[in-house]
Amino acid sequence: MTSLTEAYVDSLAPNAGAMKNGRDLVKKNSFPVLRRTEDGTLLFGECKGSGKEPYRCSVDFVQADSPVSRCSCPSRQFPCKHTLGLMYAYALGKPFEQAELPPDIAEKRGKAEKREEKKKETEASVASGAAPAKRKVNKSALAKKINAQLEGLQLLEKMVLQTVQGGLGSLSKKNIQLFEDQAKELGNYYIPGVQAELRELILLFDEESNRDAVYSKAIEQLIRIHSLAKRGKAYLERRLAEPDMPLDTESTLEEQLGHAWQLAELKEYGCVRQASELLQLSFLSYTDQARGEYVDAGWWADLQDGTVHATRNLRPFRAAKQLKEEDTVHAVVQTDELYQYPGEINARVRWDKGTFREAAVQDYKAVKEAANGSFPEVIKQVKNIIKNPLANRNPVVLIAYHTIEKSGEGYLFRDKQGKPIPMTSEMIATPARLETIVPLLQEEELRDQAALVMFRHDVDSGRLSAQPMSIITDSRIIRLLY
Amino acid sequence: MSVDLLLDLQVEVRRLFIAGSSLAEGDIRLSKLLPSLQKAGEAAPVFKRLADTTEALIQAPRAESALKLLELATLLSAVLHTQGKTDVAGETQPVSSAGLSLPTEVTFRRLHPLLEALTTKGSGRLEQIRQAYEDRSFLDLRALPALCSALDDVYSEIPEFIQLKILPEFGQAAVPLLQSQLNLQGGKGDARRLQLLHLLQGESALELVQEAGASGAPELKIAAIELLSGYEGQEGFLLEQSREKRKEVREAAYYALARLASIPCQDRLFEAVASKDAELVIYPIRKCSALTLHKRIIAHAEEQLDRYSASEGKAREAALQQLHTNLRCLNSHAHELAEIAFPMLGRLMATDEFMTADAGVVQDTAAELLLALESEPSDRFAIGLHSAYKGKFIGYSFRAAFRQLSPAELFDRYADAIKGRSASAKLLQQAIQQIVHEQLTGSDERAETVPEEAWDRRWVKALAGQDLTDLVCAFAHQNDRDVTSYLVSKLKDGSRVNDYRTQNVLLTLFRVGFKEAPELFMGLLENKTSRSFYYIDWRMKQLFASMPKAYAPRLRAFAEALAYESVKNELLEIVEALEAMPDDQAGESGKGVWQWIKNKMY
Repeated sequence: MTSLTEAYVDSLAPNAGAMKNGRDLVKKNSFPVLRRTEDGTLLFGECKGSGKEPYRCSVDFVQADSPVSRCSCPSRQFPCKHTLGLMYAYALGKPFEQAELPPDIAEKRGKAEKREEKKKETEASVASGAAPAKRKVNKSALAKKINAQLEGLQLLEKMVLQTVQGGLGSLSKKNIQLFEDQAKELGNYYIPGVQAELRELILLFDEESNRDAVYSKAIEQLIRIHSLAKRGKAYLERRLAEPDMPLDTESTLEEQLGHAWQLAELKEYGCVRQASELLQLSFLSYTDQARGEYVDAGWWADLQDGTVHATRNLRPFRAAKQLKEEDTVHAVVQTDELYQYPGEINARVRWDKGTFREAAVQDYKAVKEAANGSFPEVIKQVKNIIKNPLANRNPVVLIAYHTIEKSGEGYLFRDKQGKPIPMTSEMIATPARLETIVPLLQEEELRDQAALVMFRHDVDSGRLSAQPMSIITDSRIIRLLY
Repeated sequence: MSVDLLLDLQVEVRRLFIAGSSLAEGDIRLSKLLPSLQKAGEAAPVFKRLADTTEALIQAPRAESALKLLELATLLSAVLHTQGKTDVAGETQPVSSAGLSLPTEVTFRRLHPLLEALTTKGSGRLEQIRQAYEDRSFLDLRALPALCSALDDVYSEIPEFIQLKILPEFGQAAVPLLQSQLNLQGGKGDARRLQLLHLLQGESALELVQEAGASGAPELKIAAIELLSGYEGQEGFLLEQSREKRKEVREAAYYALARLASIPCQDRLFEAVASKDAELVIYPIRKCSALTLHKRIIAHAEEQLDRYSASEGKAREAALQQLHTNLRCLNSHAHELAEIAFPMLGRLMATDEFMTADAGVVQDTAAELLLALESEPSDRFAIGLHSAYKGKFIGYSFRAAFRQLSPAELFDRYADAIKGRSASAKLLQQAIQQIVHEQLTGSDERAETVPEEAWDRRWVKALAGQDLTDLVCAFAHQNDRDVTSYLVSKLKDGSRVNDYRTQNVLLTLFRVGFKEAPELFMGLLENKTSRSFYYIDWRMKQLFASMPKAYAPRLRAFAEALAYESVKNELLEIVEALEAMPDDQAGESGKGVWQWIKNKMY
């Protein structure tokens, strides 16, 4: 806690608003009482609120890596602005007087300790051989669910076929309204993933601007939905026949149908890696209209083998206020248990407990070494993935380039053999336009470095291009996103 | 593999998706492609599959056509995805690098709001940008392009803040983008870019500035002229620009000439004073530090006075107009010019022909200038205007006397003149008000009274005699029976407690320690007509806080009965402080509580 920095407090804040509000409290001198215990494990104080009584807030650092904040305010944000303010006050060097540990906190600490002990006990009993109570599957309920899912897929299939038969050109507003109703109806069949794919199709037509431009995208989406329905149906029928069959952990099919993997499940299926170190290469927060959620997406390099993983923090619109907004991470994350979701490239990962360490030169070097310097190889790998209609349409890859050049159409990467990968800037809205920012970079950064790029195959032009997300040099990451 | 054949097939598939697969049965264009597909299929199995699926589609009955079309499309799409082209047409060339080493470390949650503020419209944007400035999260390579572009923002405070505070912090790093964005035929934003480039690059941007001055759009021309006024060699160009067609350009040129202040510049400015541009040139001349120019203008003013006296009709009017312009040019350097300007002004004020109604504005300008000279002879002369021209200048006379005479002398000389409703009495009262206002608001903290030693004690009663309540409040230093009874009389006739005059009177009574003040205030509060409070200002708070502790229960009862929650809470807070005050202080006026409230407010 002695090293409590503003940046660290920022990282605890649930969103940008909370950071500002917390700082403002310190600025406005809203803390008439600021205290700390002698051992420095607890900060506590009082913060003026709008009511008569001040809020009593405290931050407990008894476990230094996961501080516990408590406050008497009714806010549902966690940590609330008062406890954040308390920490900012400390980080900004406001005077804290020394005081005894308040009895209510002591009591709470005692309770937490007991909980911890109990948890250890159960863990110990698990380790000592008593097999964990394997989760029992209620077979009849499962069968009922799968049947419903199959029914939903059938409904979808019918709709797709009808649309194709009638032709996209004849889709009227009324048809689209009907689609929307059916998308809503699909919500009853336990296949939210499929429902979202349909919504995506509807959204294409919602923007009533240029129909011609959306046809290609719509056809792609129809192909995708059709494949999903077909593959999903085959898979679910197999599961219905053999209820004991494990979930599919090879492909993303389960997730695409709408299964939300729990960490416990992933552990059960052995999708956990021990002792990993990850370095974030790029970050972006965007809105997924079709799924009705905000997505905080991160792309990370595994420092051992250079694999590019993705993290996705999903914040559904209706719960967004209470959920923490993720942010750019500059440090290296170390975790004992890295949960890896099924998937081929850029598999989604998560971790429960992680610690941070400052990123160093050797980390950047490790990432650079993992980048592939042969563009034909990269392109072949990418094409192999995207030809599958259900695959990730935009694989993210680390490439090592020799030069960045300019052509009549835009920028391009070249590898040592002179093979090009054209750049695009149309996939993701970037903080600054690619054309503006590339010429601003330093000369050595335009030569013999690594880049994290996202590929895209444009159906209309038949061209494969890549959008650079970050450039990784020996000494830093130049983030073109966030 | 024949990619062209695949693309042809794609076109047909797309067509059928749009038109509807029900038209696929026996489709001629598809059938035409079939033989080539089959032929290719002999060599490559993929084409064989494509040929088979195509054939199945052509032959499928309507009901199955959709499924078949989807099958074909799926297969074709998979094949085409393996055929994506990555070649680059034409010559390529290395990227010329600007070599910026700015970091890209600012996190999403900080950078994104800043970029939103810079690139969208709506409220609250400046606040966001200010915050980014405070926590220095704008210093990021990715923010720079948006910051430079925001110089064109229509909400002018944003570009101004960016120009003055933010971009200078980037230093040379901002230059390449500013240069590439600069459009000499552009608008205000480009003028800002030009100014920034000059700021960052200094003399090496001179050529660019000259170009903007010579051939830029008006906004840029104006900016360039201003910048060029710092360079001696630009005199010729600036003189030329002072004859430009556009008014704004001429004005900028006049300022630039005033700054250079060489002899040719002075000549041009002097010429402009007597031209149509007179109005434009007044402020530039005020800024000009060359007093020789001002002396010429004074001499010119004398000539105008002669002309005025000697002529009639239009010529007389023109002379008056010119005289007015000349006088207005002299303001900023009045004191330095006192010796030369005083004879001219003295002559002017002593000229009877000049004291006509249509010269009123010019008379006031002249009298104001006379005071601005701030020299003893000119003040003495002004005092002498006391009763000249039916007291027309008594206000000026009083203001000069206030500087020169002792308080007692001042009172003796002017006290009688404030009596009555004559025009000169009103002018005198206004002059007093003006001085009092300056004294009350002159310092940082608002004063409640005028300085005791600056005024004769007799004033307060004299003012009360003329029913000048506000002035009485400002002049009341002690608990004087005549004064307090006058003030109390102002409270009688149904005055409303939330009127600022009433509050002023009450505050004065509290200040001089009038014993019945609390009761008077309480009485007004409890008066039914003044129950509605929508807000309370510092006066009301101070009144509440001035009450003795004994009134706390009555005040609480009053506050509790208020309808507006926020007002009620604020007042209750004061009442609580009052109740919490130690008893030994309770007898005195509530200064302690007032201090406490002030601390809470600021």
